[in-house]
Amino acid sequence: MEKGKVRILIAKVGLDGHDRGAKYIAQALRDKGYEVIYTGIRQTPEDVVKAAIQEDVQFVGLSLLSGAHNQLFPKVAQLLKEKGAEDIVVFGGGVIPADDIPFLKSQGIKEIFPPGTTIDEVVDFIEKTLKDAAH
Amino acid sequence: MQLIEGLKRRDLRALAKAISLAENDPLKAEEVFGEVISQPPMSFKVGLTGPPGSGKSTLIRNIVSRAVEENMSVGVLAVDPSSPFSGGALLADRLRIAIPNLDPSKVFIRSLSSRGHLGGLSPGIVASVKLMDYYGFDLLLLETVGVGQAEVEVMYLADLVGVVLVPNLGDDIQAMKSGLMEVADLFVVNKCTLQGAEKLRLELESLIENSPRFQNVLWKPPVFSTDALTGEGLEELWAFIKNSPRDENFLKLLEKKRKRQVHFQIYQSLLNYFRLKAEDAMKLLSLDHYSPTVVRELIKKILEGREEE
Repeated sequence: MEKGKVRILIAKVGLDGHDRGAKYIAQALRDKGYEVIYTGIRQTPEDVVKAAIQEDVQFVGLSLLSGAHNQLFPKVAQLLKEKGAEDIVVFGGGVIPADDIPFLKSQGIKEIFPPGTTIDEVVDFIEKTLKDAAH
Repeated sequence: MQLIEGLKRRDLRALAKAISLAENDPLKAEEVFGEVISQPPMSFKVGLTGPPGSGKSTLIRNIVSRAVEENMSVGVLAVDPSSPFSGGALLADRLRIAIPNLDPSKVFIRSLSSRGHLGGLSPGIVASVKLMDYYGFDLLLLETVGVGQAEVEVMYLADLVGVVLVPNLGDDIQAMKSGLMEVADLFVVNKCTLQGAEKLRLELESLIENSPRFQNVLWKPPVFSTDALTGEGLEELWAFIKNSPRDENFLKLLEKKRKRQVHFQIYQSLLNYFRLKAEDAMKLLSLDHYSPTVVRELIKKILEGREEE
């Protein structure tokens, strides 16, 4: 990944208006020095991928509390791949049962952050991913 | 270089990456895209500026949707402020501007951080506008950060500047002050159903009618009352924007503006150069207290640095 500001898209997919977590993480990442683009609620995977490409982000963070993560998260990863943008790293958060995490990771979601995650854990993940990509 | 080839192929990802380069390293971008950014301007550029929360993004959404209905392609550059503490930013203009399910080749929206720049735009804005221009959109929309009285740089990049105001920000004396109020090619009184909107409209009309600045000029800014949420007044605003490039007086004005634009762009490149030098120089000395000697030494370092090149 090239040098410069790290840009992160925080998006809420699907029919889920619970945006407190997404807004919290968007602000917390801003406070850590990242440029965060917040899409707002009820985005389709297609719109998320379009935004990720136009905004030239290195990360897409998806937030979902409605239970549709097994459908919507993999769809975002798949569409990014179709657009030749699989270098954009996708992570997710929200109410996601531990049992679903292996499946989501197998579908190209790099990390899942369940309730109780601290902001430092997310930052560590971002920094480690950037470091690995630089090598 | 790969990015230029991508731009020529009209690859959207190449455009997005080219803008990132312009943001991260404006000087490098000018080198890499020299051929591209020396081209004469192509797209019609409309800038919207005004205080935070006045409805710029929502107005832009309305303009985008009308332009797309008429089969135009639209590019949007929207700037939000960076944090003076972390350097990060929360860019949320897109949230209001983006319309679901639009063809990405028709509407390209890019959010920019001001990255500490104070003129209402961003350090990479000149190159970013040129890149968008080269890619080619029928309409290019620029949204500034929420501004106060003095951030007027948009006048050097946009062909047509709209100043978006809302009621109850001050009296007619405020409106007479220099700065923002002077750069308007049109005024928008948004949230026009709020109390005080009609008064503001009358004050603006009176200002334009009576101020010496607007006597014997090519162009008197019209005042539009809109409510971006319901779409009230948007039809008239859009019709005006759309037809301006065919207005004889506007074209005369544009000729003058384009000269100012070039002037600003060169000046901005110089500033970018010296800003980077200043940032480097700051790393060289231990800066415990302010003194003219410290500043002189830093200037010396900057000039020496130049000779090393």
